[in-house]
Amino acid sequence: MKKIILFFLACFILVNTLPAYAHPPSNIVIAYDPAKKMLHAEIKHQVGNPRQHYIKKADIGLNGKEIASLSFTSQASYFSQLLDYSLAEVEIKKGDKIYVEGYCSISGKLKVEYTVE
Amino acid sequence: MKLLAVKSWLIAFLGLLALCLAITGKDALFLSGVAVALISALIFDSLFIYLKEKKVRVTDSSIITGLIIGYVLASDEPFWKFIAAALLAIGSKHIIRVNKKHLFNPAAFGVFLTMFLFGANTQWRGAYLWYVLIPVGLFFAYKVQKKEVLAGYLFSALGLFAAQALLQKAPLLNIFGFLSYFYIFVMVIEPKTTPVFKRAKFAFGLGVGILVFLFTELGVNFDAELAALLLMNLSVPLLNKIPQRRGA
Repeated sequence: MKKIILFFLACFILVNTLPAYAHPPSNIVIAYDPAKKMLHAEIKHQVGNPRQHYIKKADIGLNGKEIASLSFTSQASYFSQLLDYSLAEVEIKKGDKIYVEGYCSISGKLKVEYTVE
Repeated sequence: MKLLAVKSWLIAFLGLLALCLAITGKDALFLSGVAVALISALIFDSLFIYLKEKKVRVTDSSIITGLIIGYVLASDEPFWKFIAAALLAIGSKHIIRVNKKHLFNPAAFGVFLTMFLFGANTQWRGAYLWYVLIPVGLFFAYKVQKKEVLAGYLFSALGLFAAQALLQKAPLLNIFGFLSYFYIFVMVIEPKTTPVFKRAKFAFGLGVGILVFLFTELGVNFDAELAALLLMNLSVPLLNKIPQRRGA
């Protein structure tokens, strides 16, 4: 029993060279294209079955106020959910704060803020 | 090292980690949530103890419960949900008892019911810090003699997710991304609500891993990990009856 335990713990530690992500998104990378007034975000959420375990919702906000909420029924890849959203109808200036909040379909959420340059 | 000393180390670790996360993330809200959950758990536990023993006493386990609730519940939830989670956690510890021991992991019970009853969200703060949680968690698992629980969990979780990855032709190393290290190395090895004997401990970990996999694959809309842990907590009185090998 002791050998089995040590074997699995050793394998686990040795192989574990990747960053780990639990249910909540691990990070959200946000970019804003002022010329096209497009918001791009990559919600990092590593899963084993993107049809059953995915980012179900992403809220987009400006200066603390929610302006849009997008829903998803599956995840585009094993690693992340991409989103593009047009902010053409919103006036955005330098220094404004855009946030994206991603919700896991099972449990957990993450909110990340981006300051427009 | 006695269990009491291990608890003090765990309190110090969780407290310091919360402080580091709040400072590096400039997140005072997280620290506020942790503080509210911790103080609430302390007060409720002292009240329950007073009602039973007519003495005021502060326990290490209530501090740990409060800290864990602060890590798991989303910081932007209103404070009353942290208080509710602490009340449910401490209440379960004092009321739902089998063989003079509480049945459920208090923090898991409190958070899960708060999500279910009041629609709270989780954030699992610090769950990504595998480079901190693995060594520290291994140390605690060794000290509280729960390494068999870890082995059981890793055996089933890695086995099932690896088989799934092979079937789906998905990247095999991706499976390490599904493991919530805070959950595994802080919550699953809780000493009072896990079995006592070696085989039972391994079976407990095995069961938690299988349930997490099944719930995830079913796409459940509740926290798969907390539910798996609570269901396996229910089985502990039975698991403790598994015949042991001589010397085990």
